[in-house]
Amino acid sequence: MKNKSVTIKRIILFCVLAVVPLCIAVPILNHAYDAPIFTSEKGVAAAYVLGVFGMFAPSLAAVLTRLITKEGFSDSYLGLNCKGNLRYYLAAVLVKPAEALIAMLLICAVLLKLPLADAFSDEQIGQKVAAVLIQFGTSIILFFPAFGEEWGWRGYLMPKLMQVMNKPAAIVVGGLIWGLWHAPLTVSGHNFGVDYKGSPWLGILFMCVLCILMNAFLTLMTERTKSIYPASFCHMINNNLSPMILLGIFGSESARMKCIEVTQIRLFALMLPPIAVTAIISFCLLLRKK
Amino acid sequence: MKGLLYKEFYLFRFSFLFLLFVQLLVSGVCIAISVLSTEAGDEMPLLYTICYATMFFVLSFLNTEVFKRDENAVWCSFVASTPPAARGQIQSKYYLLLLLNLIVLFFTFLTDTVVVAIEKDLSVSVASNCALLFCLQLILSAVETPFIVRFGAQRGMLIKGALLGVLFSAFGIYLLFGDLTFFLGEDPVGDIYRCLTGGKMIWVTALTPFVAVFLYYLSYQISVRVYRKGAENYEE
Repeated sequence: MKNKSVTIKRIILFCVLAVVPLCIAVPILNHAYDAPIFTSEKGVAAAYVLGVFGMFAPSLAAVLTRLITKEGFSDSYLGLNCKGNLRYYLAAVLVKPAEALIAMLLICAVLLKLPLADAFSDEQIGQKVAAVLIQFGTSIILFFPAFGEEWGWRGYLMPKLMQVMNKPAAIVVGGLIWGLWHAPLTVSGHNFGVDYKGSPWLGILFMCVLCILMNAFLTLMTERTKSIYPASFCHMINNNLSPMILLGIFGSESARMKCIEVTQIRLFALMLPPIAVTAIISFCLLLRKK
Repeated sequence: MKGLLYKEFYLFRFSFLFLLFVQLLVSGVCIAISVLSTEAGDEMPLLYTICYATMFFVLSFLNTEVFKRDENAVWCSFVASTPPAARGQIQSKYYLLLLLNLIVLFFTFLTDTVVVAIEKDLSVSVASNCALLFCLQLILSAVETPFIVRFGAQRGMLIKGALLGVLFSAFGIYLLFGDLTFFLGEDPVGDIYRCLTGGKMIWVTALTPFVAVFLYYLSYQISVRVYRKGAENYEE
């Protein structure tokens, strides 16, 4: 009982420490650029820097919580543990590109209403595939920002949540906290912009759903490998190889033009089905014993 | 494995501190340049890339140090009798090399982000160049390490020097007789970037990370095989 209350205190302290930096930095930047930072043309560099350093906030929070509560650094998930876990590493790097490809096809068929032949341009296809490979490789090598988030969320918060509640509840609560952590960014136009119906609440809600779904897969990999790296690679690939980026590379001129006319939130809505399928499979695997 | 890694870090601690010192110096220089530069010119990304490349260059010289510290026949016999055996010993060295590369990459990435923040210009970011430098450094480590393990640090360094000599000579010959039009324009950085991400070269750039990982793994397997043979040459 005492252990449980200590764990809850640690969770609360961690959440406060993870949320505070963004809650301070984002309004300051919005004020400095006189516009939501992610929509300001002058603030592109500032938004990038905020994105990179902001992603380290959960890791910093985890370190500080461990130090303040004298918890120590055991179970820090920093080992590679490749032996016997190669399939999770492979899943980490392959599932997100596959999801992005499926979502891209869905966007073309449902939202842009373009036949496949018109949606894609096969001009310089070799160059385009190579460009995607470069993006893919760079995402894995420069995984540090994603590591910054994952070491906090999956490496610290999720194991703690699973100590105080059952796995399904932990996935939902963890994903919800993760989604709400993005709220200051979402309000400032991150991912969805600000010109959509129901802004910013719909964006925050959407981000929470997305984070709950992704949390299942990322937690599965972290729990099975006892390592934070597969989740970090997966997170970074997810950020850098979105369906919109793929559409920007492979899409025809007309597909790209149509894409600009559609609100970001509708594009993101079509990312959900493949992510949901992965989440359901991960959820079932998580409930099963290894 | 944890114990062997601790041992590696303990033996490498002074070189590691030196590496951190150089890293801080390079980062400081880059930040000072970004603070002092009055306007962002086209040459800035090239300047930053050269600074970060210096870091990886310093690291490439420390590779030998990782192996030099315990080149001892008695130690090799001892470690071969422990549960991790020779494979574990070599594995710990390869982990350490990878970790050092990652630490340098992490610092260069952070410096790059700070420089973007100071210059308020995303175009000065050379993070992807740093990723490419990381891959090249990994390939270089992959090539030289089996030689160091087989022939010892001293002779391994000579072989590495010879390899680098061949590479630089080939580059020199290209500079003398090759096509340099891509480098002689008004925007050399942009030209190099376009060369690396255009034409057939884009595939070389795209496949470099995968080749680096494959070569590094292959190098590890070769080093494990030649370790015992190499240990016979070490002094007691």
